[in-house]
Amino acid sequence: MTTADKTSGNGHSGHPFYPDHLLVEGIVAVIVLLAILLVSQVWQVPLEEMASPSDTSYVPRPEWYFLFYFQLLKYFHGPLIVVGTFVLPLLLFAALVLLPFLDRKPARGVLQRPRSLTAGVLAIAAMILLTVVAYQEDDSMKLPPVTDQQVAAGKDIFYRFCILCHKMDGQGGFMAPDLTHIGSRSGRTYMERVIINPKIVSPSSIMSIVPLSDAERHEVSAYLSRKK
Amino acid sequence: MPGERRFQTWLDERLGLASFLASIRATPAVPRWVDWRYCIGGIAFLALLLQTASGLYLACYYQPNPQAAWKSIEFIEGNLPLGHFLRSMHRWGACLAFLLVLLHMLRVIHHGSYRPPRELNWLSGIGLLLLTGLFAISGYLLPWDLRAYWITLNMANWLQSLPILSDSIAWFLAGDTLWGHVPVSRFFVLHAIVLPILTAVLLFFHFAMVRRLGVRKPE
Repeated sequence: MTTADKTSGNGHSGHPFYPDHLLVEGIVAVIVLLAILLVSQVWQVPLEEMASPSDTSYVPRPEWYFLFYFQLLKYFHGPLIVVGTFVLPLLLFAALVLLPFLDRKPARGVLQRPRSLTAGVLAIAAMILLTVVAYQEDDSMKLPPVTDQQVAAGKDIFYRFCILCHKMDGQGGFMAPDLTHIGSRSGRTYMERVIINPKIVSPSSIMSIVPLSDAERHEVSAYLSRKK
Repeated sequence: MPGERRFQTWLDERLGLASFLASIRATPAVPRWVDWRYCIGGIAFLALLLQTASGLYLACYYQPNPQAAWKSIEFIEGNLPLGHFLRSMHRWGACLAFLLVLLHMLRVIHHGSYRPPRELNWLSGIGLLLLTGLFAISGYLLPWDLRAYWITLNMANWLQSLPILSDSIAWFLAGDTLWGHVPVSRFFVLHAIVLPILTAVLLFFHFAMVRRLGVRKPE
């Protein structure tokens, strides 16, 4: 009997593990190894600035494989945040752990498992969708450079809406923080995020969402970034 | 008996290498329908080995305290041969390992290979997926750059909302202020000692189960 005629534990004829199958694994391994070496050489990972608790303008982004979860957490605020941090991950984890105990029909073809197939496809689609939305939000945060025209327009908007609560150069309301030197404390990306949804940055914020267009929001952040 | 042969015999009497190699050769044949998709798990293991190698190199020079962590990474990147390349490889390798573990899991789900009698193999795989995620999370803080600091702080804030153990987990992640060196050294011990040991144990179990039960033919 040649080595190729050996049968597996399952009773199927096949190749010997060593060296035939190991050779296939080895070829795939070499391809993957070369790919990772190439990627590591071409796209070297930068070391960002040293950690600083005073740099509140920094908007952290996790790796792509956690991005969907990072995005998901943005939709839960206040007492509902526990749904994002605890309930949904627990349900997903429980579903994965219990899968072999719940799905016990003898048929194993994908189309013969409609419930598992639907649940799996929906979960994967939701993860992909959330990841795409997170990347799109990142792109929308790539801001145009500040111009004097933008700063003037932003000042006008600020004195129409924001001054009611915020103080600026000694004028304005007292319900919200003084923004006279905000440009020296926070970056534009951070300001834009606060304007879009103040509760993302601070769940206890009482600031209401001001209905501004993207261009108007860029103008306000341009004006505030000059207030140093 | 020639010298080379005598040395082999001497070594084999002490290590049992011949019987080990014989046991590999005696492994049941791999079915013909096993194609490249069944290599993904093995390649994920390779990615883990790469992570171990690059991680060991980084660990030789990394200093787990906030005063020195960032500077030690800067030193690795700027002064050591292949330092920046190996740090990049460690980061990209983490992405690759996570991707491969996910793809392997999808292949298992697609073929229904989690079904009896492979429940324990599936559960150990879920454990390995969790450990891969924990490796990534614990690795975030180590460079002690802006990204590391703010991601960890965000995680600590979110975890405050957990109905159980929230204070303990947040304390573990952030210490009292996140500005002491306790969290960095905790994360380093987790990343470089605890998680690798747990992973090795689960991997051994996972492979032993694959060897015992074989691979399942897709329908």
